[in-house]
Amino acid sequence: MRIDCPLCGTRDRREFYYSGHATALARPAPDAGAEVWDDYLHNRDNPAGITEDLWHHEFGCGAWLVVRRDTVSHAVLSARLVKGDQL
Amino acid sequence: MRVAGKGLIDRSRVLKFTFGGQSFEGFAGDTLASALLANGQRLIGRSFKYHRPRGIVTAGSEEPNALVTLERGLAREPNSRATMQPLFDGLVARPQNAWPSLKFDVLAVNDVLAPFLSAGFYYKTFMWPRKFWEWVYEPAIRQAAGLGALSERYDHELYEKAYAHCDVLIIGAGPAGLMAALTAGRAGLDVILADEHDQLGGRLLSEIEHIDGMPAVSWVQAAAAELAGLANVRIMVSTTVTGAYDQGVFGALERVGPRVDVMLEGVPRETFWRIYTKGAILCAGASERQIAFANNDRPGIMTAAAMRSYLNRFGVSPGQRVAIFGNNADAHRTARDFAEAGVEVVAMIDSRAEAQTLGDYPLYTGAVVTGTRGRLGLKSIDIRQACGSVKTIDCDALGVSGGWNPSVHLTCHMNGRPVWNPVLASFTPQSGAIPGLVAAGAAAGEMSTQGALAQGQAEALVLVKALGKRRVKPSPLPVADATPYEITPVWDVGGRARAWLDFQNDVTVKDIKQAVQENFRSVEHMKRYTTQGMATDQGKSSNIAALAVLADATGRGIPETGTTTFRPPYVPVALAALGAGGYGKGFAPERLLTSDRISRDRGAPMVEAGLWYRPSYFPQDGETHWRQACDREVQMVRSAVGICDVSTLGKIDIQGPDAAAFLDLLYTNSFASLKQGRVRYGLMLREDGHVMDDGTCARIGADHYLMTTTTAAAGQVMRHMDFVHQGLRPNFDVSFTSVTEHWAQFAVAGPEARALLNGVLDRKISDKTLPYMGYKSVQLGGIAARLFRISFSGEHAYELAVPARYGESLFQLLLERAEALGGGAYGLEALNVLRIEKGFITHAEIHGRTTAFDIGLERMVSEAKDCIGKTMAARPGLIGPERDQLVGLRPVGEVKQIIPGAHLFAPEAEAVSENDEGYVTSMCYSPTVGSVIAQAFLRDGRNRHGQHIKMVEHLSGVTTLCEVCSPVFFDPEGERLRG
Amino acid sequence: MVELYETSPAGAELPLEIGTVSVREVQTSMHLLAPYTGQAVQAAAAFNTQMGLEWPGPNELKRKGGVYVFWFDHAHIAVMGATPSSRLARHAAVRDVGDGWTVLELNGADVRAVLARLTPLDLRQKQCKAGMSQRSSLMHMQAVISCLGKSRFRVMVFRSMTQTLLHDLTTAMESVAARADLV
Repeated sequence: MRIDCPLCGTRDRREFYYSGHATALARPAPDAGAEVWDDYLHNRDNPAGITEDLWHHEFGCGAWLVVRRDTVSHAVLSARLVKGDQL
Repeated sequence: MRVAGKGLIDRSRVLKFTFGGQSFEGFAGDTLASALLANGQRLIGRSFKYHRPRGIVTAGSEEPNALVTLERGLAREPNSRATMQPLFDGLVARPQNAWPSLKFDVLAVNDVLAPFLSAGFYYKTFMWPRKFWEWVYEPAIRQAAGLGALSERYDHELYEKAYAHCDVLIIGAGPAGLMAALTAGRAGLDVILADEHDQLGGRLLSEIEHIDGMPAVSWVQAAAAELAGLANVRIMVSTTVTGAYDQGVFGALERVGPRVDVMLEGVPRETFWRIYTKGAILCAGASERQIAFANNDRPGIMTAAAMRSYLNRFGVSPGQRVAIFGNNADAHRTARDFAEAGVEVVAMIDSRAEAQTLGDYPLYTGAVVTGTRGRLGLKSIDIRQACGSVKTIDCDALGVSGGWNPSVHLTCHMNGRPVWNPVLASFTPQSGAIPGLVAAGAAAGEMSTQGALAQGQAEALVLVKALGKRRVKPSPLPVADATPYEITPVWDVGGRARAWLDFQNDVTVKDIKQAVQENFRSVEHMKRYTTQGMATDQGKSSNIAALAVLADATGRGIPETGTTTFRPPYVPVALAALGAGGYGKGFAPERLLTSDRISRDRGAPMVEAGLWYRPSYFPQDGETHWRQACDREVQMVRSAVGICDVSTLGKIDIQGPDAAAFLDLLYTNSFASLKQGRVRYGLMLREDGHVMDDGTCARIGADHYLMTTTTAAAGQVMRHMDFVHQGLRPNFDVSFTSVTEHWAQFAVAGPEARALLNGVLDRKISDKTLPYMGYKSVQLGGIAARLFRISFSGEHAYELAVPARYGESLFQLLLERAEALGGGAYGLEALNVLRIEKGFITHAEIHGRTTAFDIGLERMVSEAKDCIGKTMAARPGLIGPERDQLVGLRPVGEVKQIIPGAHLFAPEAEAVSENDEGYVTSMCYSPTVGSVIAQAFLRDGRNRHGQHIKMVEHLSGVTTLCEVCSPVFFDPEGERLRG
Repeated sequence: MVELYETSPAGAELPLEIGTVSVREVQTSMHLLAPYTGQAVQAAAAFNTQMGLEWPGPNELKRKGGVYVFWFDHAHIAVMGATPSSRLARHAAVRDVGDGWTVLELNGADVRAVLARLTPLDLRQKQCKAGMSQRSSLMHMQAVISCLGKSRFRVMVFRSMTQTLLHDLTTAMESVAARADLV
């Protein structure tokens, strides 16, 4: 598997650390309530198809990426920096 | 026997080798298989289950029978295919699965017992008595069945891993592959051309053909020479592409060492390559399959194409009287070539009534082989002619061609399903099954040389264009043989005697039929019940025929029956190659301290802490046990001064206007309120409310902090900070980086700590200039250093940091000064005792399931601000008396042993999980307290100080009565810290 | 006043030569620069004034005399052989990290073949040219791999991992050298 790091270029999967769904970027407000926090922390979809994951380019530039990929075909569709996603 | 004037071998270079202890000679250019055949050695091994005598069947990597063990010194490589092993001088090989000898194998009795050993026999027999399976039946079967054995010695052979990148990977260097490589290479693409044989050419090396009017072999040589001259083409021979993976990644196994005449020192046996490519062309050709007829597995029976390879490439005839049996036109080439070479062709048996002759040999059309004779080697065959009459023909070699199977395997590695082609009577690749990979030539079902050349060129041109090299004019296509491939399938001749499909796993037509009778009708069930295709050759030459027999027995067609799944690797790959470089020093980086040399010189044993190597203790003369050193070091710190290298702690330099706000989000407590020149202990939570890490953080300047992490969590904390900054607070103007390695940092701890420092610092310090939890930039021999007044021992202590280049020197200096003051170095054992005495925690306590509440630090979660983990830390169930809370333990009964990991029970309760009330995390012998002490988590523990609890360690059966107490055993008021 | 001596990460174990490749240790200063928010332009200008070099972009390395500047990670660039000025420090966080890294220079015909055994980076000449500095793994280590020429590279790993780097390099160099004798 290879990932197109927007900074480093296309790199081997072994340079990256995987960290679950990109939901983790949408941190709720402290007072959002138990249900919202429970969802944020624990509940994830398991789609057969397109998903967006967080990967840390730990052996590369150190950037966190949102990687869009297809869980069925294993195609990696895009990768973008999480920094900028919220701006 | 050798045939004069034939073959591509170098008869001027004689190579000596041994097989089964017997000496033989071959020539340069031989494989072990061709050299054995040249010496008349037809019997090579014994079969897996029935111990049937077996010989060489193929001339390639699909070989099911001719597996040998190669020996080199103490090293042994079992299950090496003799057909793939280039001969070299001094090669030593042994046959496998035969005892006492190849010719007389005791377990050949299995062949007589065959009626009891049919498909699935082990599911039905050996069922009783139950215990016998593990102790009697299984060892006996394992001894009897099987392939080669490992030496059970450490493998000193070298293996390596490597990476390669290209635009186009061409898999196979036959006509299609060579033409593709020439086309892509001339157009300037970076090409890797990989072929599993040690020469380029593929089938062309084994055929008498002409390309552009010259012998095919000459065309191959010219193509190879041109490719070798192109800087953008990389030729990898003896390299099998073993797997296709996502995003253009391929695995390939290069057999490096065994292909040379003399094994060279330092050359790896195998290199496992990861190849990254934009496009790939699969030109892996096709392999010939067998036809099932009675006793079709005798030595001397091989595929017709292999027979032709041995003649044309190696100048070897596998027999003196040769017969060929086929169901297609291609088989006739073998008859023709042998006849032209002057070897006696006794019969060409073609199951097709309309078959045409290609040369001067006796042809039997509409005929089939029905049986064979010859226990250790073929002596004669029975054929049933078109008229129905049976005829016996004496022969010592039989070539069989059941048709060709395109090598579709790699196209199935990402769940692709091959497509049945009724004209070829075979499966061809599903297009698009591997993104970026196309098949060309025989692998794509294009069986003629002319067709393969054309397709290789065409597919390469598509890639050339797709990869942006537009201005390329294809060279004229070479003119080659375009004879169409014609086949009328015959899978199974029928009859009552056993007819083999899978030679390596001893699966017969009968076994498949029995599987169907017992309702294992799906192809996947049949495979597992009979073990068809499950041997090391993965059924390359037998799967399709087995499918056909299954389809026939179930009354379904072959496409409906489908195939089993081909998975990587295409050929067996040594685990040593996959894991190359990862053993010994290559297993993981070894992080060494700047003080490493001095510590080792002083005899300190090293202990691993993450990737770091830290001194465990510093033994002195007369000490015979680590505890003596440890106790002494603890007392030394408590009474004088100790020096410990603490550089392994993570150090993260944080700068920027938003540094304080950033830290306030990361830590539970406030750092915005920390004054410059001060240090504060901080607690970091995960978002789920559990403790991630702890450590100190110093404010070095207005917008400049230095965070320390634990040794174990340094990487995790850095990643977490990157996430929080980039993902949650990208607008924060803050930057940070690890400076762990820039600083060598030493703890100076004990009542004499300040006296020691004042002897080495350029300017003296005092309580006033550097109070407890203070930070100061200092000078040491004119060198800028950092001094922190912090303590992990409970003593008046400091940590002094200098740039790493001075680390060794400073450690040396501090030790000298400490020793002069009655102190010295202390190691990790003493460090651990000192911190347990003080009730300080490590990752033994913050192990991922503890909260700030559990360790009694809930007051450190600031009310005034949000922080990572704050919301979830307040969840029900994470706070309250139901939690296991940090306590101290000391033994109060006869037994004085406390064991980390042991569980805690009420004194009168039975030690079972329902009564479990907690567990021990750390223990030590405290010379300060004068007893064993421990840290533990105990249900509602803070309210139970003074109570008794029973520690039970089930593994060693130790039960200890303990008193629950505060985890702080020493100086609870902290007077020594400030003193 | 006390006197401290210096030790270099590799010490007496270098230089080293196996086959066509030689390895030597580079002893130089190194600072990391990270511009503050909104200060990239000013930082680049101050940088240019002091170094006479452009601020390096991702995967870039530039040099002038003994000064090497290169892209370090998503947030930082690195300067070797010069101490960033105080004017530059007004626009960017400056950190001295020079003692934390081991810098080795590899030279010789087979240098790319040696590195191909250690890193998954694309090391083809057209893809990896002089003036490129990339972050990647070198065996199990986080590394900086800078190309200075057709057969000249610099590799950097954390100082504490020097012995492992030397082990991994030596293993790869020996293997490549042994292959030179293959027919």
